[in-house]
Amino acid sequence: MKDIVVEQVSKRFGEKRVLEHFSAVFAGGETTCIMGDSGCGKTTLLNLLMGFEKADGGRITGVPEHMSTVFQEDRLCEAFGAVSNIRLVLGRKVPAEWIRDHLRELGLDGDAFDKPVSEFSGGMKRRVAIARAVSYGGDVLFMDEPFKGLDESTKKMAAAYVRRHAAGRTVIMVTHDESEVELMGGHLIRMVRGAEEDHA
Amino acid sequence: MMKKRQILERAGAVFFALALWQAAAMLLNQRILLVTPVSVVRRLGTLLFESGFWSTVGFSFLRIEAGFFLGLFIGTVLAVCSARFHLIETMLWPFMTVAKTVPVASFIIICLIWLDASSLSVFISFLMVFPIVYFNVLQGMKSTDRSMLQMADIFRVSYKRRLFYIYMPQVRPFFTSACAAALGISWKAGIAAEVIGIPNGSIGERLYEAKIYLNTADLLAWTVVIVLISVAFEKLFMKLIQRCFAGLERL
Repeated sequence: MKDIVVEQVSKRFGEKRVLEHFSAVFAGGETTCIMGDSGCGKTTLLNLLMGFEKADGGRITGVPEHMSTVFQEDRLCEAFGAVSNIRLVLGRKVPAEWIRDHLRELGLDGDAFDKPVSEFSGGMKRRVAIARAVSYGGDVLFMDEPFKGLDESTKKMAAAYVRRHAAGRTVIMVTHDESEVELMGGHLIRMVRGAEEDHA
Repeated sequence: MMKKRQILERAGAVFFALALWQAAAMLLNQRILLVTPVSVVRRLGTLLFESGFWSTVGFSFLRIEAGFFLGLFIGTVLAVCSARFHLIETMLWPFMTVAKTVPVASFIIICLIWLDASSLSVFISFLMVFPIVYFNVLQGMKSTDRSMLQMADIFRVSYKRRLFYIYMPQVRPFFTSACAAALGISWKAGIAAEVIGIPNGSIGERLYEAKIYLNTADLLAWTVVIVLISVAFEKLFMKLIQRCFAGLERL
């Protein structure tokens, strides 16, 4: 799997400089965690990689076309159940039981399968969003603070689930939490306002 | 469910209005100008058992509701197409603006030249419902959360599935309020078309005859019939719509 290469990328929003000549290499088929203070451009970087934003300068290469995402917000269809939300991205050919197995691995079962997501707690919604992105497949998995709002044991369960199913895929995760980096493993990139600071 | 207190309050308001009407009619004491509600109820009682009553109701009901469903279907389909293709929205704009702004009486008179009187109410009802549904559904689709559409792009969700999972819940309140407004208007416009076109065997014809013979009791009794059918159908249809949406969301 090809590396994703970011070369001298800059991005401004009006007068606000978010990324300035940022460079990084995300190893293909491996996990990379991005850490940094709020407002340092982590989410903007993900948006650039996913093609939601266009860079003002620089180059991004090697991003596979087939990608999946855990957004910073859950972005679930609130009127539908957990299974239906995953069906939305997988289509009707995938058996419901296969989807339920994914949800069970994240500690969701029984009522959670079919009752509207609007009735879920924040943590339950988060897990449905993770299950949707992971079960969808794709060559690269972007995750923007995926474990936000989960308690420690659920975080461990969710991280193990992602590692199990995303093995061999390129995973890029943005987080504020050092413990989440430990749970996910892989490479670490620390970002500071305007540029990349160091690699670990 | 409506609360018991609210039901009692409304019943009280209706009783007060009827009492006021009865008092005014008794004071005026002129049956041509204003009949009492008791006379209207009495006339309604005899009307229900007259031969031809149900066929008259059926004649108008079928045509007006046919126009309503046609407007609902075509308005929804065109709104979906317009939301997807901007060119269609632009091309439809002059037609929709005309349909929305031209007075219904003008349409009725123009259409009388082209259509026979018996199908006039279908077309007029359609013409009134169609823009209401079109603009509401289009507005609902346009107000869809962009972040959800971004999500659909990333996961390569087909347009068919976007319609069902993303647009439908968004459009639902717009669609139901359009239906509620359109149902009332379809009856008002449809009956107006019948009164002007006077097709044989329609409620409009009966209203016209009541006016010619200065039979106020008949006029008001038929008006009550129109209101009852319109309200009953609206309640039934809105319940069905809510159930349909709830059923679809459980799929």
